[in-house]
Amino acid sequence: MPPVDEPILLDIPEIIAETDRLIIRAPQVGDGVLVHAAIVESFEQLNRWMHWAQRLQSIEETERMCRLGAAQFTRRDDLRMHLFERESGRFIGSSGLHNIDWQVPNMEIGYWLRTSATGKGYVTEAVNAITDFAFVMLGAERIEIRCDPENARSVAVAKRCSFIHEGVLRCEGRGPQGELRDTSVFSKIRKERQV
Amino acid sequence: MTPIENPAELDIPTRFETERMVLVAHDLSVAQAMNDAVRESHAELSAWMPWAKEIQTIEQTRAHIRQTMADFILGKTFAYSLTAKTSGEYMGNIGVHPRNWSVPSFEIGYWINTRFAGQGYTSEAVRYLTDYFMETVGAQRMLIRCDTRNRGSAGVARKCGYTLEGVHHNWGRDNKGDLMHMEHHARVTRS
Repeated sequence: MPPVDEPILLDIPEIIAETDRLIIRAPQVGDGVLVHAAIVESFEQLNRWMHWAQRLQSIEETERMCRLGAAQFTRRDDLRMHLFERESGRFIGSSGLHNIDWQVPNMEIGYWLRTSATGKGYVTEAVNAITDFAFVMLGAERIEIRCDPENARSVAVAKRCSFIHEGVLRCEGRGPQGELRDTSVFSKIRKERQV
Repeated sequence: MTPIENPAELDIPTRFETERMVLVAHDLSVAQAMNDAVRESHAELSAWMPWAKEIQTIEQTRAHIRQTMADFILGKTFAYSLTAKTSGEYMGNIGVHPRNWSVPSFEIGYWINTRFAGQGYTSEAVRYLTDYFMETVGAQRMLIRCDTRNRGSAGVARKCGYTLEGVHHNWGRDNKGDLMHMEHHARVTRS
Protein backbone atom coordinates (compact mmCIF):
# COMPACT_ATOMS: atom_id res chain seq x y z
CA MET A 1 0.00 0.00 0.00
CA PRO A 2 1.19 3.56 -0.61
CA PRO A 3 2.33 6.00 2.10
CA VAL A 4 -0.42 7.85 3.97
CA ASP A 5 0.28 11.54 3.38
CA GLU A 6 -2.57 12.97 5.45
CA PRO A 7 -3.34 10.51 8.24
CA ILE A 8 -5.53 13.11 9.97
CA LEU A 9 -8.02 12.66 7.14
CA LEU A 10 -8.19 8.88 7.51
CA ASP A 11 -11.62 7.72 8.62
CA ILE A 12 -11.15 5.28 11.45
CA PRO A 13 -14.17 4.00 13.39
CA GLU A 14 -14.18 4.58 17.16
CA ILE A 15 -14.82 0.85 17.59
CA ILE A 16 -11.81 -0.82 16.02
CA ALA A 17 -13.02 -4.38 16.31
CA GLU A 18 -15.53 -6.68 17.94
CA THR A 19 -14.03 -10.11 18.38
CA ASP A 20 -15.55 -13.24 19.92
CA ARG A 21 -14.99 -11.98 23.44
CA LEU A 22 -13.75 -8.40 23.17
CA ILE A 23 -14.71 -4.92 22.15
CA ILE A 24 -11.72 -2.80 21.14
CA ARG A 25 -12.24 0.95 20.94
CA ALA A 26 -10.48 4.32 21.06
CA PRO A 27 -9.94 5.88 24.51
CA GLN A 28 -12.68 8.24 25.66
CA VAL A 29 -13.07 11.08 28.11
CA GLY A 30 -14.16 9.45 31.35
CA ASP A 31 -12.24 6.18 30.89
CA GLY A 32 -9.74 7.23 33.56
CA VAL A 33 -11.61 5.74 36.49
CA LEU A 34 -11.88 2.34 34.76
CA VAL A 35 -8.25 2.28 33.70
CA HIS A 36 -7.07 3.46 37.10
CA ALA A 37 -8.80 0.59 38.91
CA ALA A 38 -7.13 -1.87 36.54
CA ILE A 39 -3.71 -0.28 37.14
CA VAL A 40 -4.17 -0.47 40.92
CA GLU A 41 -5.10 -4.13 40.68
CA SER A 42 -2.12 -4.94 38.42
CA PHE A 43 0.48 -2.56 39.80
CA GLU A 44 2.99 -5.20 40.88
CA GLN A 45 3.05 -6.85 37.45
CA LEU A 46 3.08 -3.57 35.50
CA ASN A 47 5.80 -2.16 37.71
CA ARG A 48 8.16 -4.94 36.62
CA TRP A 49 8.10 -4.03 32.90
CA MET A 50 6.51 -0.64 32.29
CA HIS A 51 8.34 2.67 32.64
CA TRP A 52 5.06 4.49 33.21
CA ALA A 53 4.21 2.27 36.17
CA GLN A 54 7.12 3.13 38.44
CA ARG A 55 4.81 4.88 40.83
CA LEU A 56 1.07 4.61 41.23
CA GLN A 57 -0.76 7.31 39.28
CA SER A 58 -3.66 9.27 40.71
CA ILE A 59 -7.09 8.92 39.08
CA GLU A 60 -6.65 12.43 37.70
CA GLU A 61 -3.36 11.51 36.03
CA THR A 62 -4.91 8.43 34.47
CA GLU A 63 -7.85 10.47 33.21
CA ARG A 64 -5.42 12.98 31.74
CA MET A 65 -3.65 10.15 29.89
CA CYS A 66 -6.98 8.88 28.55
CA ARG A 67 -7.89 12.33 27.26
CA LEU A 68 -4.46 12.74 25.71
CA GLY A 69 -4.94 9.29 24.15
CA ALA A 70 -8.32 10.32 22.75
CA ALA A 71 -6.84 13.49 21.26
CA GLN A 72 -3.86 11.68 19.75
CA PHE A 73 -6.22 9.07 18.31
CA THR A 74 -8.29 11.82 16.69
CA ARG A 75 -5.15 13.34 15.16
CA ARG A 76 -3.94 9.85 14.11
CA ASP A 77 -0.65 10.56 15.86
CA ASP A 78 -0.90 7.50 18.07
CA LEU A 79 -3.71 4.96 18.23
CA ARG A 80 -4.13 3.84 21.79
CA MET A 81 -7.02 1.41 22.27
CA HIS A 82 -8.99 0.17 25.25
CA LEU A 83 -10.10 -3.44 25.58
CA PHE A 84 -13.44 -4.45 27.10
CA GLU A 85 -14.82 -7.87 27.87
CA ARG A 86 -17.90 -8.20 25.68
CA GLU A 87 -20.02 -10.19 28.08
CA SER A 88 -19.40 -8.11 31.20
CA GLY A 89 -18.50 -4.75 29.67
CA ARG A 90 -15.52 -4.68 32.01
CA PHE A 91 -12.33 -2.78 31.07
CA ILE A 92 -9.62 -5.46 30.86
CA GLY A 93 -6.58 -3.72 29.44
CA SER A 94 -4.99 -1.48 26.89
CA SER A 95 -3.37 -1.97 23.53
CA GLY A 96 -2.84 0.12 20.44
CA LEU A 97 -0.62 1.16 17.56
CA HIS A 98 2.31 3.39 18.44
CA ASN A 99 5.43 4.96 16.89
CA ILE A 100 3.59 5.20 13.60
CA ASP A 101 5.55 6.12 10.49
CA TRP A 102 2.74 6.85 8.05
CA GLN A 103 5.20 7.15 5.18
CA VAL A 104 5.67 3.37 5.16
CA PRO A 105 3.21 2.78 7.01
CA ASN A 106 5.05 1.04 9.81
CA MET A 107 3.88 0.84 13.43
CA GLU A 108 4.35 -0.91 16.74
CA ILE A 109 1.68 -2.76 18.68
CA GLY A 110 1.77 -2.64 22.48
CA TYR A 111 -0.40 -4.21 25.16
CA TRP A 112 -1.04 -4.83 28.84
CA LEU A 113 -3.82 -6.66 30.62
CA ARG A 114 -5.24 -6.31 34.12
CA THR A 115 -4.08 -9.19 36.28
CA SER A 116 -7.53 -10.67 36.80
CA ALA A 117 -8.02 -10.98 33.03
CA THR A 118 -4.74 -12.75 32.19
CA GLY A 119 -4.37 -16.35 31.09
CA LYS A 120 -7.46 -16.37 28.90
CA GLY A 121 -5.89 -15.51 25.56
CA TYR A 122 -7.41 -12.03 25.50
CA VAL A 123 -4.20 -10.31 24.40
CA THR A 124 -3.72 -12.79 21.56
CA GLU A 125 -7.30 -12.14 20.47
CA ALA A 126 -6.77 -8.37 20.62
CA VAL A 127 -3.39 -8.40 18.84
CA ASN A 128 -4.78 -10.54 16.02
CA ALA A 129 -7.76 -8.20 15.57
CA ILE A 130 -5.66 -5.02 15.73
CA THR A 131 -3.10 -6.48 13.32
CA ASP A 132 -5.85 -7.26 10.80
CA PHE A 133 -7.25 -3.77 11.28
CA ALA A 134 -3.81 -2.21 10.65
CA PHE A 135 -3.21 -4.18 7.46
CA VAL A 136 -6.70 -3.71 6.04
CA MET A 137 -7.81 -0.27 7.25
CA LEU A 138 -4.49 1.54 7.62
CA GLY A 139 -2.57 -0.09 4.77
CA ALA A 140 0.26 -1.07 7.13
CA GLU A 141 3.31 -2.62 5.47
CA ARG A 142 4.93 -3.60 8.77
CA ILE A 143 3.75 -4.10 12.33
CA GLU A 144 6.22 -4.78 15.07
CA ILE A 145 6.21 -6.00 18.64
CA ARG A 146 9.10 -4.94 20.87
CA CYS A 147 9.67 -6.39 24.30
CA ASP A 148 12.24 -7.37 26.84
CA PRO A 149 13.33 -10.93 25.95
CA GLU A 150 12.93 -11.73 29.65
CA ASN A 151 9.25 -10.81 29.51
CA ALA A 152 8.23 -14.37 28.68
CA ARG A 153 4.50 -13.68 28.51
CA SER A 154 4.96 -10.85 26.06
CA VAL A 155 7.29 -12.96 23.91
CA ALA A 156 4.67 -15.73 23.97
CA VAL A 157 2.01 -13.35 22.61
CA ALA A 158 4.26 -12.38 19.69
CA LYS A 159 4.92 -16.02 18.85
CA ARG A 160 1.29 -17.09 19.28
CA CYS A 161 0.25 -14.34 16.87
CA SER A 162 2.82 -15.63 14.33
CA PHE A 163 5.06 -12.59 14.42
CA ILE A 164 8.56 -13.34 13.12
CA HIS A 165 11.50 -12.83 15.46
CA GLU A 166 13.88 -10.47 13.67
CA GLY A 167 16.56 -10.13 16.29
CA VAL A 168 17.67 -8.99 19.70
CA LEU A 169 18.97 -5.43 20.01
CA ARG A 170 21.51 -5.68 22.82
CA CYS A 171 21.73 -3.03 25.56
CA GLU A 172 19.08 -1.10 23.70
CA GLY A 173 17.63 0.59 26.75
CA ARG A 174 17.33 0.51 30.48
CA GLY A 175 14.59 -1.25 32.36
CA PRO A 176 12.39 0.50 34.88
CA GLN A 177 14.85 -0.37 37.64
CA GLY A 178 17.76 1.13 35.71
CA GLU A 179 19.38 -2.10 34.54
CA LEU A 180 20.63 -2.40 30.95
CA ARG A 181 18.06 -4.25 28.92
CA ASP A 182 17.89 -5.96 25.53
CA THR A 183 14.98 -5.54 23.15
CA SER A 184 13.51 -8.38 21.12
CA VAL A 185 11.94 -7.26 17.85
CA PHE A 186 9.18 -9.26 16.18
CA SER A 187 7.35 -8.25 13.03
CA LYS A 188 4.63 -9.06 10.59
CA ILE A 189 4.67 -7.66 7.08
CA ARG A 190 1.93 -7.51 4.44
CA LYS A 191 1.04 -10.98 3.25
CA GLU A 192 1.60 -10.34 -0.44
CA ARG A 193 5.15 -9.23 0.33
CA GLN A 194 6.05 -12.19 2.48
CA VAL A 195 8.76 -14.33 0.94
CA MET B 1 29.40 2.69 33.00
CA THR B 2 26.31 4.61 33.91
CA PRO B 3 23.79 6.88 32.20
CA ILE B 4 24.97 10.35 31.15
CA GLU B 5 22.90 12.88 33.06
CA ASN B 6 24.04 16.11 31.42
CA PRO B 7 25.06 15.62 27.78
CA ALA B 8 25.64 19.35 27.28
CA GLU B 9 28.47 19.19 29.84
CA LEU B 10 30.41 16.57 27.88
CA ASP B 11 33.66 17.68 26.28
CA ILE B 12 33.81 15.78 23.02
CA PRO B 13 36.96 16.63 21.04
CA THR B 14 36.51 18.59 17.83
CA ARG B 15 39.55 16.97 16.24
CA PHE B 16 40.86 13.42 16.02
CA GLU B 17 43.88 12.04 14.21
CA THR B 18 43.80 8.55 12.80
CA GLU B 19 46.53 6.82 10.83
CA ARG B 20 45.76 8.45 7.49
CA MET B 21 43.18 11.12 8.32
CA VAL B 22 42.26 14.07 10.46
CA LEU B 23 38.65 14.22 11.62
CA VAL B 24 37.57 17.81 12.16
CA ALA B 25 34.26 19.05 13.50
CA HIS B 26 32.49 20.84 10.65
CA ASP B 27 32.88 24.55 10.06
CA LEU B 28 31.98 26.70 7.08
CA SER B 29 35.45 26.45 5.56
CA VAL B 30 34.55 22.98 4.20
CA ALA B 31 31.24 24.08 2.64
CA GLN B 32 32.45 24.24 -0.97
CA ALA B 33 34.45 21.01 -0.74
CA MET B 34 31.50 19.21 0.86
CA ASN B 35 29.09 20.49 -1.76
CA ASP B 36 31.47 19.43 -4.57
CA ALA B 37 31.87 15.97 -3.02
CA VAL B 38 28.11 15.51 -2.70
CA ARG B 39 27.74 16.42 -6.38
CA GLU B 40 30.52 14.07 -7.45
CA SER B 41 29.03 11.19 -5.48
CA HIS B 42 25.38 11.96 -6.07
CA ALA B 43 24.60 8.71 -7.87
CA GLU B 44 25.81 6.64 -4.90
CA LEU B 45 24.50 8.94 -2.16
CA SER B 46 21.02 9.32 -3.60
CA ALA B 47 20.56 5.55 -3.50
CA TRP B 48 20.80 5.47 0.31
CA MET B 49 20.60 8.91 1.89
CA PRO B 50 17.25 10.64 2.34
CA TRP B 51 19.01 14.04 2.36
CA ALA B 52 20.67 13.33 -1.00
CA LYS B 53 17.51 12.85 -3.03
CA GLU B 54 18.04 16.23 -4.72
CA ILE B 55 21.42 17.83 -5.37
CA GLN B 56 22.08 20.45 -2.70
CA THR B 57 22.76 24.08 -3.43
CA ILE B 58 25.78 25.65 -1.74
CA GLU B 59 23.37 27.61 0.46
CA GLN B 60 21.77 24.38 1.66
CA THR B 61 25.19 22.93 2.42
CA ARG B 62 26.13 26.05 4.38
CA ALA B 63 22.87 25.94 6.33
CA HIS B 64 23.41 22.25 7.05
CA ILE B 65 26.91 22.95 8.38
CA ARG B 66 25.64 25.75 10.63
CA GLN B 67 23.05 23.36 12.01
CA THR B 68 25.65 20.66 12.70
CA MET B 69 27.88 23.24 14.45
CA ALA B 70 24.99 24.15 16.76
CA ASP B 71 24.12 20.48 17.28
CA PHE B 72 27.72 19.74 18.27
CA ILE B 73 27.61 22.38 21.00
CA LEU B 74 24.24 21.10 22.23
CA GLY B 75 25.41 17.48 22.24
CA LYS B 76 22.76 16.49 19.70
CA THR B 77 25.15 15.13 17.12
CA PHE B 78 28.92 15.11 16.67
CA ALA B 79 29.72 15.54 12.98
CA TYR B 80 33.21 15.56 11.49
CA SER B 81 34.80 16.06 8.11
CA LEU B 82 37.15 13.31 7.00
CA THR B 83 40.26 14.94 5.61
CA ALA B 84 43.38 13.31 4.18
CA LYS B 85 46.32 13.82 6.50
CA THR B 86 48.89 14.38 3.80
CA SER B 87 46.97 16.56 1.32
CA GLY B 88 44.37 18.05 3.66
CA GLU B 89 41.76 17.17 1.05
CA TYR B 90 38.15 16.84 2.17
CA MET B 91 36.92 13.23 1.69
CA GLY B 92 33.55 12.78 3.38
CA ASN B 93 31.57 12.96 6.59
CA ILE B 94 31.14 10.93 9.73
CA GLY B 95 28.64 11.69 12.48
CA VAL B 96 28.02 10.24 15.91
CA HIS B 97 24.37 10.59 16.92
CA PRO B 98 23.31 10.08 20.55
CA ARG B 99 20.40 7.63 20.61
CA ASN B 100 19.76 7.06 24.29
CA TRP B 101 21.72 8.95 26.95
CA SER B 102 20.44 6.69 29.69
CA VAL B 103 22.27 3.67 28.17
CA PRO B 104 24.28 5.57 26.73
CA SER B 105 24.06 4.51 23.09
CA PHE B 106 25.16 6.20 19.86
CA GLU B 107 24.62 5.63 16.18
CA ILE B 108 27.37 6.25 13.63
CA GLY B 109 26.56 7.46 10.12
CA TYR B 110 29.04 8.08 7.32
CA TRP B 111 29.65 8.62 3.64
CA ILE B 112 32.75 9.16 1.58
CA ASN B 113 33.31 10.70 -1.81
CA THR B 114 33.15 7.85 -4.35
CA ARG B 115 36.67 8.74 -5.45
CA PHE B 116 38.03 7.61 -2.06
CA ALA B 117 35.82 4.56 -1.60
CA GLY B 118 37.24 1.05 -1.27
CA GLN B 119 40.46 2.07 0.47
CA GLY B 120 39.37 1.51 4.05
CA TYR B 121 39.10 5.18 4.99
CA THR B 122 35.57 4.94 6.33
CA SER B 123 36.40 1.85 8.38
CA GLU B 124 39.43 3.62 9.81
CA ALA B 125 37.27 6.51 11.00
CA VAL B 126 34.42 4.33 12.26
CA ARG B 127 36.79 2.09 14.19
CA TYR B 128 38.48 5.11 15.76
CA LEU B 129 35.28 6.85 16.85
CA THR B 130 33.67 3.63 18.04
CA ASP B 131 36.63 2.92 20.29
CA TYR B 132 36.71 6.50 21.52
CA PHE B 133 33.02 6.59 22.42
CA MET B 134 33.13 3.18 24.10
CA GLU B 135 36.35 3.70 26.00
CA THR B 136 36.23 7.38 26.86
CA VAL B 137 32.62 8.55 26.70
CA GLY B 138 31.21 5.38 28.26
CA ALA B 139 29.01 4.16 25.41
CA GLN B 140 27.45 0.78 26.17
CA ARG B 141 26.08 0.35 22.68
CA MET B 142 27.20 1.63 19.27
CA LEU B 143 24.84 1.21 16.34
CA ILE B 144 25.17 1.25 12.56
CA ARG B 145 22.05 0.92 10.45
CA CYS B 146 21.89 0.47 6.70
CA ASP B 147 19.65 -0.62 3.86
CA THR B 148 20.07 -4.37 3.22
CA ARG B 149 21.16 -3.54 -0.34
CA ASN B 150 23.93 -1.20 0.80
CA ARG B 151 26.67 -3.81 1.01
CA GLY B 152 29.42 -1.21 1.23
CA SER B 153 28.01 0.17 4.44
CA ALA B 154 27.38 -3.29 5.90
CA GLY B 155 30.99 -4.17 5.06
CA VAL B 156 32.26 -1.21 7.06
CA ALA B 157 30.20 -2.31 10.07
CA ARG B 158 31.50 -5.87 9.85
CA LYS B 159 35.12 -4.77 9.44
CA CYS B 160 34.79 -2.59 12.55
CA GLY B 161 33.66 -5.48 14.73
CA TYR B 162 29.94 -4.79 14.64
CA THR B 163 27.53 -7.73 14.82
CA LEU B 164 24.39 -7.96 12.70
CA GLU B 165 21.59 -8.14 15.26
CA GLY B 166 18.64 -8.29 12.92
CA VAL B 167 16.91 -7.09 9.78
CA HIS B 168 13.75 -5.03 10.14
CA HIS B 169 11.60 -5.88 7.14
CA ASN B 170 9.59 -3.12 5.41
CA TRP B 171 11.12 -0.69 7.88
CA GLY B 172 11.04 2.32 5.58
CA ARG B 173 11.06 3.66 2.04
CA ASP B 174 14.02 4.62 -0.11
CA ASN B 175 14.28 7.79 -2.19
CA LYS B 176 12.31 6.14 -5.02
CA GLY B 177 9.47 5.34 -2.62
CA ASP B 178 10.17 1.60 -2.63
CA LEU B 179 10.01 -0.37 0.61
CA MET B 180 13.38 -1.16 2.14
CA HIS B 181 14.67 -3.43 4.89
CA MET B 182 16.95 -2.06 7.59
CA GLU B 183 19.96 -3.90 8.99
CA HIS B 184 20.92 -3.23 12.62
CA HIS B 185 24.60 -3.72 13.40
CA ALA B 186 25.87 -3.06 16.90
CA ARG B 187 28.83 -3.25 19.21
CA VAL B 188 28.16 -3.48 22.92
CA THR B 189 30.46 -3.48 25.93
CA ARG B 190 28.87 -6.63 27.35
CA SER B 191 30.26 -9.74 25.68
